[in-house]
Parts: sequence; C-alpha cells; structure tokens
Amino acid sequence: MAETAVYDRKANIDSSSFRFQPEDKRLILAHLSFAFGALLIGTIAGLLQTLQRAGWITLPPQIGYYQLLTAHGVLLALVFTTFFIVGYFYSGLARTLGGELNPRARVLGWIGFYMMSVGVIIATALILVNEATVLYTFYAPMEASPWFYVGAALLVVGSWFSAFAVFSSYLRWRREHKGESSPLFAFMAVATMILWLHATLGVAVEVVFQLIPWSFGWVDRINVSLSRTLFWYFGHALVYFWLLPAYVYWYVNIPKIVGGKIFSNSLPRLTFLLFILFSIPVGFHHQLNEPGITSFWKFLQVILTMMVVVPSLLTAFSILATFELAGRAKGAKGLFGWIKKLPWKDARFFSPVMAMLIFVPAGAGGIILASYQLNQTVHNTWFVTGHFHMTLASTVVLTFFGIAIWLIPSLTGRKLTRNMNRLGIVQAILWGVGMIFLSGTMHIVGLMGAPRRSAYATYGNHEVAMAWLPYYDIIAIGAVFLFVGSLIELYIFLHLMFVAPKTNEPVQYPIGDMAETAKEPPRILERWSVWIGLSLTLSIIAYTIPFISLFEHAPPGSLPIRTW
Amino acid sequence: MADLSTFNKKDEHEEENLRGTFFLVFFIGGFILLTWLAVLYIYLSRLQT
Amino acid sequence: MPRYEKIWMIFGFASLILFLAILGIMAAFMGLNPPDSLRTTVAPEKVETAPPFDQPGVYQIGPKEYRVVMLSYVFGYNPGTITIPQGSTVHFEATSRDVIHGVYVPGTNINLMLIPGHITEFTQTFNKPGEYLYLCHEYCGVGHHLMQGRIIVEPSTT
Repeated sequence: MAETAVYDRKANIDSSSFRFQPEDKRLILAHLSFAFGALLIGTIAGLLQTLQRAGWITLPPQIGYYQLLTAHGVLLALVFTTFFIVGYFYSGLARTLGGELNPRARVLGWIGFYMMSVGVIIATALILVNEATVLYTFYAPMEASPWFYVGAALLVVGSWFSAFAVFSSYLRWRREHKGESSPLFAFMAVATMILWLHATLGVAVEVVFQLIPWSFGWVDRINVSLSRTLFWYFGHALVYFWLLPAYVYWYVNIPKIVGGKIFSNSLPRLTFLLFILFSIPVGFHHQLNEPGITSFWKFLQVILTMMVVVPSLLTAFSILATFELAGRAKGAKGLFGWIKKLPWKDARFFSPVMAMLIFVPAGAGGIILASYQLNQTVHNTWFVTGHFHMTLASTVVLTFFGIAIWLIPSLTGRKLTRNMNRLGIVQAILWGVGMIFLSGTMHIVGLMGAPRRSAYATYGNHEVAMAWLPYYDIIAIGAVFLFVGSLIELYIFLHLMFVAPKTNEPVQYPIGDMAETAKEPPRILERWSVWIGLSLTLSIIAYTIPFISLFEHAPPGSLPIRTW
Repeated sequence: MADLSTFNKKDEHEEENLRGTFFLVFFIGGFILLTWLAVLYIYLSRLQT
Repeated sequence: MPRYEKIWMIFGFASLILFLAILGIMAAFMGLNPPDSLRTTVAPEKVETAPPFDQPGVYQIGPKEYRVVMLSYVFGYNPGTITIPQGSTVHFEATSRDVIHGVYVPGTNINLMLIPGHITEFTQTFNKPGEYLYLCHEYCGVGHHLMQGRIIVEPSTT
C-alpha cells in the first residue's frame, strides 16, 4: 500500500469525516497562501541581512540593508502572522460552530482579505523601491511615502473586517444556542479578536490621524512622542495577538493529538480573558529609556506587565498537565515515563513542542526586558532581537507550522503523507537548531552591547565592537539553517497544496474533548462586556495622564525627514 | 467519614498524576529566576562604570 | 484547580512580586531610574538657535562634576569625543535635531533615547579609565551604523 496518512490511528474516534465547505476552503486557503508567500520573501530578506551584517556578503546597490530589514519585519511580523491567524481561526470556527461559516462571515472575510492584501502589496512595493525604509515600526519623524501609511491603514482596517467575520460566526452560534457556553476554540478566537480590536485603536489613530495627514502635507508637524506612544499602545498587545492563536492550538487541538482531554473548561477561558486585560496597558515597557514619560507611569506599566506573565504561567501548567495525564492514561509510570508515551513521531505534535521548549528562555528574556532599570542593560541591543526570534519566530511560527501540516491537506482533500510528516519533523529540528544558534547568540552578544537594527560595522575597529564579530558568524550560520528550514516548510506547503495524493478520507481536524470532570464555566467568563469594560478601564488608568502630559508638555512638533 | 477518606485518596491520586508537571514547571520557574538575577547582577555591576 | 497548580501559581506570583519589589526599592531608595525628563526644546530644526543646544559641549560644574550638553543628528554627535578625568560624575542632557537617535555605551547602563523636541537626562559616574565607544542604537537612516562617538576617561594622576 502507498503511504498511510498519519491520522490512521485507533485513538481518533472523533468525526474524521469533517469536510470543509468549498466556500470556506477558498477563503481559508487564500489567507494561508498569502501568508506563505510573505514567508518566502520575508525569510529571503532575513538571510541576506544576517549575511551582510556578519560581513559575509556585500549587498548589490539596488537593495539596502535597511530596506531588507523593513521588508523582513513587515512581511513576517505583520503579514505572515495576521494572514495565518485569520485563516486558522476561520478553519476552527467552521469546524466547531456547526461545520461551516455563515454567509455574512464569508463576505466580511473576503472584504478583509482584499483590503489587507491590497494594503500589503502597496506597502511592499514601496519598500522595494526605497520609498519606505522606515522599518516595521515606522517611527516619525522619518517619513515614508504617504501611500505606505495608506497600505498600513488598509492592512489594519482590513483585519477589523476579519475580526467582524469571527464575531459574526460566533454570534450566529450564540443565537442558536442560547445560554450555552461556546466551544472553546470559538471562545478563544473571539477573545483574541477583541484584544486585537482594542490594541489596533492605537496604531489606527497614529496612522490615520497623524502619519497620513502629515505625510501628505496637509499638516506640517507631527507630535513624535505621541506617535510613538500610540504605536506602543498597539505594539505590545500585538505580540499577544501572535501568541494567543498558538495557545489555542496548544489548548484545543493538541489534546486530541496526544489522546488526552482538556481537563478544565474554565481555566483556559480565564487565561485568555486575563490577556485581554493585561496586554494593552503595558506599552511603556518599550519606552522605558525615553523622555516625555515620567518614571511613575513607566513603573506602573511595568507592574501591569508582570501581571501579563500570570496567564502564561497558568498555561505552562495546563499544557504540561494535559501531556502528563494523557501519558499516564496510556500506562506510563514514574516521574517522567509519560514523556515517552507522547506522539513524538507526529509532526503535528513535534513542532509545537519544539516551540514550547523555546518559549522557556523566550519568556524569561521577556520578563528581563520589561524590568524597568534592567532594560537599560539590553534596550535596542541584539538581546531584544534574540528575544522576539525565540517568541514570535520560534514559539508562534513553529506552532503555526505544526498546524499547517494537517490543515492544508485537510483543506485541499489530500493525504498528510508519511514523507511530509517526516519532513515536518526534520524542518522543526532544523528550525530549532538554527534558532538556538541565532537567538541564543543574539542574547549573548546583545549583553555584550551589539546594537539591533544595524548593518555591518566595526565602529572604528573599537575593541568592544571587534569582539562581537565572531558571534555574528554563529548567528549567520543559524540564519542559514533557518533559511533552509523555511525552504523546506515552503516545499511542504506546496506539496500538500498541489502534489500529495488526493484522498476520500479527509485529514482529521483535531479538536480536543473536554474531560468528564470539567465543570461548566461560570457565565461571567462569557460576559464580554465585563471584560471589555475592564480592559478599557485599565488602559484608561495606565494611559490617560501620560497622554495628557504628552499634549501639555509637547514641543512644537517635527517636520518630515527622509534619511535614506 | 467514608466520604473524607475517599476524598483524600482522590486528591493524592490526582497529585500523583501531576508530579512530573510540578517538577517541570518549577524547573521553568527556576530558569526564570536565575536568568533574571543574572541580568540584575550585570546591571548592578555596570553601575560602577 | 489541582493543589500542585495552586502551589506553582503562588510561587510564580511571588517571584513576580519579588522582582517588582527589587526594582521598586532600587528606584525609590537608590535613585536608580531610567533616563527621563519632561523638558522640551524649540522646534528641532532650530534647536541650535536656543540654549542649551546652541552650545553643545562638556562643561565642568564642580570638582568632579560635569555637564555634557549633547546634540545628535544624522549621522553623528556634538560633542563627538568627550574627555573627562576618572571618577567624574557626568550629567547628560541630550536631544536630536532631526529623527530619533540613541546613545548607547556598550558595557554600561548608559542607554538613552533621544527624541527630537525632548531633552533626555541621565547621570553616570565614570570610575574606570578607558576609551569607551558609544553608538546610535535607534535606526535613523542609511548611516545609522556609522553613527558613533567616544568617551575618554583619563586615569587620575594621583
């Protein structure tokens, strides 16, 4: 017999007969394909940057280091992520809310897709012709082409339509199941999108009311500090917009894959609600070393930042407990015997577990970065870059790769072949090793003072800067591993999209079963108005007076400047 | 009385089943503490430039 | 919630409180805060027409105390080289006349963000002699990675 699909295991009594409706397939695959396209260009940029900075290559005159850096940040951190997350969420909503999305959700979904993709194409084109070499944070008063900001606005507003699509399917289910607690996947998708809508208010105001009028010349000057603060109102919650979908996979899908149960129906919900509360009023920990904001408010937001660690601590216990209980149910004995019982040969499990392992140093680094004075040791060094390559580029991205390997064939009606499964595991190993070389070393050389966001330089051959160079070589090696890993991932994607054999038994969409002992969640956990209200209140407390101060103690404002 | 003893047994059983998790999360916690204190040490040592 | 989870959460939460306590004590009782100030300047492109940035430089204000008024721009600093004797306490006042820049001295806690229109203040005592590199760590344009200066701490002659 030819290759056996990985899901042919006795453990799965679930409805492996779930099939996506054609309209939902198209919508979801559009998002995932666009995401993988962004992955290709973004990782090419990343490779070239690292090789340039290590002094291994010189870039041709047509493309600059900082253009590549801008493309890398935008395409991977903003585009790959958003499109993948939206596609994944639509798939889970279709699966858990009755088998398909409702018509209104589909319309909203397509509006969102077109707005976002047009915005991305405009922005990317401008980056490539050197009209927007401002990095993905686009800090004023560096001024990009006004159409770059228009592209950014389209991406953000388009994503709101994606959020509305999520809400639409959820609300339809709620109307048809009055008084019932929603399926966990849907609850978490809604929570993530609520977080997203609140967070994007900051960057939307910045782009629409400051950057666009200023760059079109309708307004002469811009309040720089205000624009930064608005960006970081958004910027920290952004990372939870990335992380939470990975948590969804860990909480909802993986229990099915390991043959375990979700042992609480309340704790995961509470975790996500805590993220809604604490991911936004914390933006100042990205602004600790700048003027215009007083120590008091910086420290207050540091306190709130420590609170946002709490739901991750809960998650660590929950996920490991799920693994251990599943392993012990299979007969494992001893302190760690259950580890061996887990499906290590299953790429759907292996990739996200590699992601979880890396999340430990990743999270530790994050707590350090947010620690008020300690930030002076590491701000704007490569420690920061190491940190988000562990969190976003490993924890989140590897989890997404673990999702893609079964979601794509589930959508395309093809087999998840043994070869692709093996390749998926190889990919995850390559990625993990590459990331240890890259991110691990970045943390070290960052503590030694190497700056981030900087092209190759030896700073007048100063001994401090020369000491960094050997570390750059290790980082470049890591980048090569990662690039090979991304090529493999793209191959897996294309293979599962177009080449793998078709099958009449669709690849299972794993959704974990609730344990019998899991109690009904308290109603209040689904009273969204309470949590949205609390979230807004916390943000008002953390930001009102500092914002007023930014207006009261405002300098005249800055004219546009182009420095590239 | 019988209720209490079965309740305790269930608790112990439940704990037995999570010993590995308990160990591992504390390993994570220890890692976080250690790395945080390491950077605190670096910060303090750099006060005397 | 299982008992083990309760214990874990208490330990985790207590660690976070411990971190905050240490940071808070350092801030409140050791005067250790990140760079700051609510002071602003005139319009950035005119910042060299008004005090203090009409006269950037190193000024001695006490036996072992200095004031460094620093202007940053694409792609350098004024003063670029700062020379002070060992044991000096330096009060930095810095700004930018164009885009956002940084002042970062690798191997130290001197990590300043310079925002046009604002003044960043920070104080550091230099007890060890040597030639310190400082550089811009906030992307500011094509020449960003070339933007640097030196702080020369001369060994005391006693």
